Amino acid sequence: MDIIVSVLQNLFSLQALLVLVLGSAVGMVVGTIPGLSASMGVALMLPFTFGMEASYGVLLLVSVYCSSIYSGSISAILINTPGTSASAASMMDGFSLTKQGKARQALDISLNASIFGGIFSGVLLLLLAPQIAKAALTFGPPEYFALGVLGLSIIAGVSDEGLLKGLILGGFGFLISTIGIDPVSGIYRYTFGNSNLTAGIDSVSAMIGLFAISEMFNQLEIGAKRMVQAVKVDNEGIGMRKMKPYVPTMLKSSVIGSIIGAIPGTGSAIAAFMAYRQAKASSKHPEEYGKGSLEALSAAESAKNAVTGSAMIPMMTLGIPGDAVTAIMLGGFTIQGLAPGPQLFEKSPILVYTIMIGFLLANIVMMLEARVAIKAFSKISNISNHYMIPIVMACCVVGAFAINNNLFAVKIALIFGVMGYILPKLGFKNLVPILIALILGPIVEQNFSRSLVLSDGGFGIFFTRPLSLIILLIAAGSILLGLRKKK
Amino acid sequence: MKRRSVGAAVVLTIVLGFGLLGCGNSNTGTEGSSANKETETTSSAETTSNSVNYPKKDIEIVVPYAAGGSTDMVARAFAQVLSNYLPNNVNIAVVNVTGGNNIVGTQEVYSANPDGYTIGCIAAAPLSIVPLYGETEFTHDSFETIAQVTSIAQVLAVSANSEWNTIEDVITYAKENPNAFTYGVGGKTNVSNLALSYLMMQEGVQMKSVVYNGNSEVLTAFLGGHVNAYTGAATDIKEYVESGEAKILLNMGSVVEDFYADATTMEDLGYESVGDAYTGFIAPPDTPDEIMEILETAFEKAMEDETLLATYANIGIQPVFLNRAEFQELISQTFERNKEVLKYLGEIE
Repeated sequence: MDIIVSVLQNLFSLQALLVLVLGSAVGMVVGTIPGLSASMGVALMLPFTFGMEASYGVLLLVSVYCSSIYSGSISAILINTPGTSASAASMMDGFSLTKQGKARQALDISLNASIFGGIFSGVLLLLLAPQIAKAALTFGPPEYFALGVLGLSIIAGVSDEGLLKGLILGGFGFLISTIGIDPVSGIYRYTFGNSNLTAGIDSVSAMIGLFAISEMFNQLEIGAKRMVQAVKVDNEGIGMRKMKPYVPTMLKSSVIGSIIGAIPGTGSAIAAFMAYRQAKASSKHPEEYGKGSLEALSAAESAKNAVTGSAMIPMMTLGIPGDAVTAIMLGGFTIQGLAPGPQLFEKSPILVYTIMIGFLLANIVMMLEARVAIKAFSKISNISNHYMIPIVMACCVVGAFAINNNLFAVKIALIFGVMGYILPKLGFKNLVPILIALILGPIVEQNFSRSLVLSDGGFGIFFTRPLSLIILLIAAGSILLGLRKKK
Repeated sequence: MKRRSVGAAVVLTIVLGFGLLGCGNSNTGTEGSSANKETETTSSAETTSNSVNYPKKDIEIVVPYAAGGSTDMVARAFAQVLSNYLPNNVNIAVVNVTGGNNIVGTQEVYSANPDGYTIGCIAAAPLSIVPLYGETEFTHDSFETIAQVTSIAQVLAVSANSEWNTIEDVITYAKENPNAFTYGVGGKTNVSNLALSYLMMQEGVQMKSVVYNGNSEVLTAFLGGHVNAYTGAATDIKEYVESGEAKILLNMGSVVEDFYADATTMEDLGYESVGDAYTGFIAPPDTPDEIMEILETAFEKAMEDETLLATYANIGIQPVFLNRAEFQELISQTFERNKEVLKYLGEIE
């Protein structure tokens, strides 16, 4: 009981609230700007935490994390440009809604669903962290491979204009993902003696190019005054109560997001796509997906934010980062003198609970701030293209540079931008499969290699382990289902 | 009219792209390598006089490792206190440039302006292992070394309730079951991989290495029981040793901390201590001597700083200092030894 009292005292102090408000604001700005990722936001705030008390320092990082993952969708919805890769799945439906004049609704659904997902995973964090962590550990190389294959099978569900085109693009994305030093064998592939290519093609720069820069080219071609044509703008919002029809979808998506988040090494983007796919498969109106389905949006959004809470599970219970952002947070913990891991719960229970309940609070603070911001944000679509296009291009260039403090990423983004402009003209309208394959390629390939090392070359390893077998069966089922529906 | 403006935009982009492509890769790399760069390229000309006014502006430490990792934390620890030991009270910023087995970031330091405003923080691998594969522009003695500041011992750990209680048990097991014992390692060119390969070479045994991306992935795999042993930095597994879940059987380095004071060392087995992931700071080639001296002195003094030492304790590492010449000597020595190991493994000719 005293623990709870201390925790509440910590959280409802002025300093804590200040930290949460500030962190959410910073995160929201960083997340929305295309190219500035969540990990950048957290890394930026890291030095500020050195002077703070441990729990407030961590709370700052946590609130930046949550809100930057959420706010990537703001730009995805309004200008067809995901602010973070996590929001790539929300882009298709979100922007379609904006074009129909329903930007406000899209933004509301995005916020509400994100909060739902965030709080869902926050509760899991609070109640079941150690158990979930143990379960997550059972994922070895074959299971990761299977998970990657399941992720790739999403391509089947996302290519509206034919499986073949989706596979071609996916194959292309997969090929690109092999560029660089293969970690498992150490072989240099397609690096052409350029040291920058040893790192491979970063999916964030590819994303900026394929979806943001190319969109700017499209806008130039259309030559319109603004991104959204003068459709009757529907400014009616969607409050929490109106979310009821979406609850089953959000629940399923949050579960998916929480599972993916708890498995170290995966990320929000994968969770969002998987949830999108699953929601589409079980939806009553699958034909709307990709064209402005609020249900699709709610699925992608809740999944992506559900990753934030559960990614903290392996971080806090095992000292292992769930994704790139929690890796930075881990460093923040260590510099503060805390050691996440099995002993953290025993040695510093007050701190641990402060963080976990603080996470829930961060989501609430974010919701309040975003509600205010959304009213202003939805007006962005009204800005004339004369301003929009140069500003977005500038943000893209800065964002791409900021990925690795290196101009090379900018070149990649530009190349992909031209690609993203030309490909639709060749008949490939939906470029998402490239991104999916680019992100998942390394996971699939590297874990395939590792599994074969462990099994001395035997392929049986994927089928004799129950977990990977189950996941592979789900993937097969998903693909077959997709093929059947086409007929 | 619309077609023309799009065409113009695309052409402009392609031109811009080529322009960047052309400029970005040169050795004299003055573009974009550091965010803080001002257009003062005359600074190198000014340093030919005896009294050098350095530093005049902010210094950037490039870390070829991800934020939050142990090398990054060392760099940040210094970034916090170093300006107290340099004249003019400038700011010191840490910039992470990751990728390609640390090549991207190391290359950036290599191509940076040798004016003392861009320095690098590296561990052993980028200089003493990676260049052996022949794909990098830089090699073990291409840089101006500033100082070594710590050494993170690489260890081998197994699960507390496994059948192996000593490293000799492991070696015996490996002799009887070649290629059956699996160990996880955070990168093919990581110090721990080379160190363990060296041991295998000397003992004539074979174990299977499962290569991951970084120590935390290895830890995950180890905790999940997917590999028999964890090999990597002692700092990353400290929590589990203290909680009793893991036991460190072999200390491949020369640094000993409390939590593995009992572990067998390479020297106990009669071999050289090859598993030290020494961490230090480097500067681009041809950085003037006057600047190098200022930096070296600053780092040497910073090693006594209380805040720094406290951060070291938090991270779980010890201060180990070698000056410019000694550090370069160490790097070159390990480079030669690693060459032998890689040749034995058939990785290089």
